[in-house]
Formats: sequence, C-alpha cells, structure tokens
Amino acid sequence: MSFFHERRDRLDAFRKGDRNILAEVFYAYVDDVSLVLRRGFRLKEHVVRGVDAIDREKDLVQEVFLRAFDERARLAFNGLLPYGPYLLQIARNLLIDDWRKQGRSPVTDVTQAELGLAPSLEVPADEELEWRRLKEATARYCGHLPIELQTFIQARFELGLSQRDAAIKLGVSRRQIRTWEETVQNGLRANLSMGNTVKDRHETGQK
Amino acid sequence: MKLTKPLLNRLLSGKEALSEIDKEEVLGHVLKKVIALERPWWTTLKPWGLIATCTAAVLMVTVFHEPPSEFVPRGQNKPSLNLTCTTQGVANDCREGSRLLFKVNPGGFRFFAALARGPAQQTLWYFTQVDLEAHSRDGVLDRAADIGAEHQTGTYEVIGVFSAAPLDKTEVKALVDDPSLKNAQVTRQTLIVKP
Repeated sequence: MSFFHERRDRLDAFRKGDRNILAEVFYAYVDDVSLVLRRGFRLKEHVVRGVDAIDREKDLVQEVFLRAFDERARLAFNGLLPYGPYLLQIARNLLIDDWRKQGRSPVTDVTQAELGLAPSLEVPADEELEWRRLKEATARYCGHLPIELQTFIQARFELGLSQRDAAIKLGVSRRQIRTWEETVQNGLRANLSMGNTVKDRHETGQK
Repeated sequence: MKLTKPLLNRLLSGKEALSEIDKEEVLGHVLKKVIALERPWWTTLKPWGLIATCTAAVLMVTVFHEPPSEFVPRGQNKPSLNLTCTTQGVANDCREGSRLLFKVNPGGFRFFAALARGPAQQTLWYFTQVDLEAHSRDGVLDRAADIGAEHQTGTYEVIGVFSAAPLDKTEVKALVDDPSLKNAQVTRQTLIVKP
C-alpha cells in the first residue's frame, strides 16, 4: 500500500517539503530502490544489469531521491498513484543512463528459457561466494575484538542505531562513537586487505 | 572488490543491502540539497551574517558602469554581478581565508568568466567558460574563489564577462580591454581585501 494511501496529511506535508515526512518516505522505499539498483531488472527479453560498484549504488540512490524530492516533482505528485513504482521507475531510468554514460551496454540478452528458469534476478554464484568469504572474514575479525567494540558493532551496524542513539545506549560520547567507527572500519579494511584475493568485478568482466 | 566504506559498513552490519549508516548519510545529503535549493541564498546566512552582507553590499561600489550593450537580448535584464565574501559560510569582510561568492544575473547570456585586477595591476583569474545553465543555482555560482595569499590587502576590480559562447582567457582579456567588441557584456565590481 502506498505511503500516502488515504493520508492527506502526509501528502500535504510531503508537498510542502516537511523534513520528517521526507525522511519517512525515504526509509519506506530506500531498500526497494537500492535493490533495483544493485540487482538490476528485467526489460522484456533483456536483463538490465545492476551497478558494478557499491559506491555507485549509494550515489544513484541519492540521485533517485534528489529527483523525487525536487519541489516540482513533489508538487506534481497527486497522491492517487502508488509512490513506490514511481520511485522505481526513476531508479530504472537512472541505471540505464548510468551504463550508457560509461559507454557500456546496460542490457544482457537472456533467452526465454533462461527467463523461465529464473523467477528473479539471482546473485551470480561467484559474487555470492565472494560475499560469503568476506562476511566470514569479517565475523572472525569481529570475534577477536574487545567486548566493548563488539557491543558497539552490534548497536551501530547491526541494529543500525544513529550515532546519538548508540552513544546513549552505550553510555559514551558521540565522539567516542565516531572514534570506534573509524577504528573498526580501518581495522577491518586492513584485515581484509591482507587476505583479500577477490577480483574486482571490472577485472572479471562480470556484473 | 574495493574495500570501500560502504562495503565495510555492509560487512559489519551483516547485510548485503545498503547499511543504516549509508542510508543516514544519503538522507542527510538529500535533505540538505533539497531544502537548500528551496531557500533563497540569503536565508542561508545567519542573522548577523545577513547584516554583514547588507553592510558589505552598501559599501560595495560599482566603479565603472558600462553603457548598455546593444547585444543584451530583448526582454532580458542587463547582466549583473554581485560579490559576497564568507568565512565558514557566514558573510563577512573579505580577507585571506575568505571565500568569494559570485551572484550573477545572466541577463540572457549563458557563459561567464571572472578575473580581478589588483592594487599592483596584477591579474588574478578566477574562472573562464562557466556554463551558467549548469553552474548557478538561484543565481549563485557553485564555484567560489578562495581568497588566498595571492590576494594582497587592497582594492581590486573584479571583472565579470558574460558571453553567449565560451571564451578563453585571450578572448576575455580582449573584451575587457575593448568592451566595444560584440556579443558579450562586461561588468565590474570593487572588492576590498582587508588585512
């Protein structure tokens, strides 16, 4: 059901550019938008590939919401049509444009038989393997950290608490949270770099 | 796979999707941009910054006033240039360390170049070939000049050149020296760099 369904108050606040409503809309749809950008989508007998870099996915998610939250776009939205498909259409168009800008074809041909076999766009097996390997290495790295950092990781990364909420929960300052954040990120990067044999998707020429 | 921050955040969250930290960051950028775009540029200044801007605007004197060009497109305003110095985002006197913002009214011209001539007649180039359709929002250029050591204390003449086509430095200089050349408009403002 659309975020705005039978909620005139939400629609009015959205059209006025109320920060809180914009944030609610963002969180209501951001996962769907990023999924389309990451996994790609089907276009008739073609598959439009998802982005080939995590940074790019983040940039495109931002671009989707910037376009959707632009004043003219907000005022043009009447609240009668579902908002999700509208956002996803922006995401799809941006994804195609992004591939074109890179001078690369956005689509991969697949046969009807393949389409029949694949009910959804699956993660390529090698990518799945890379992800699993990195995840296991991350779990090992986290397992060796002091208990306070493990608790911090759980609050800030797994539960996704804001810096402020994580600071309150753990009884420390926000500055401490920022320091821990950097410590953990840098430590993990160093740890994975030592054992990282994963090839860049560009190098492998795959999705 | 590059070990970028978003990837590390995903690994730490244990989910392959965009992490909460990245979502926070994206939302922050989106709201900042969307809301900034809808506010007139002067409302982004703090009250005392606004007073300083107004004072600076009053003190800013146009030393030369070019005769209207016959090439100003009909129905358009005459192009104009206004300067504001800011320190940490707040309008302030111009001195080393300030940022010099350019507020322009293109008056129908598309490209812009700016330079300054200093107390010792030295020329400082700020930029050339700025496409105003792409680089100005509400008239404020998204490019600013940092007032560095190259700006000695003193009075500068800042020259803005509006043109229909992108001009290189030689062409801009020719226009500045001989404003009777056509298809462009030269505007001048005074900039006082304080010690």
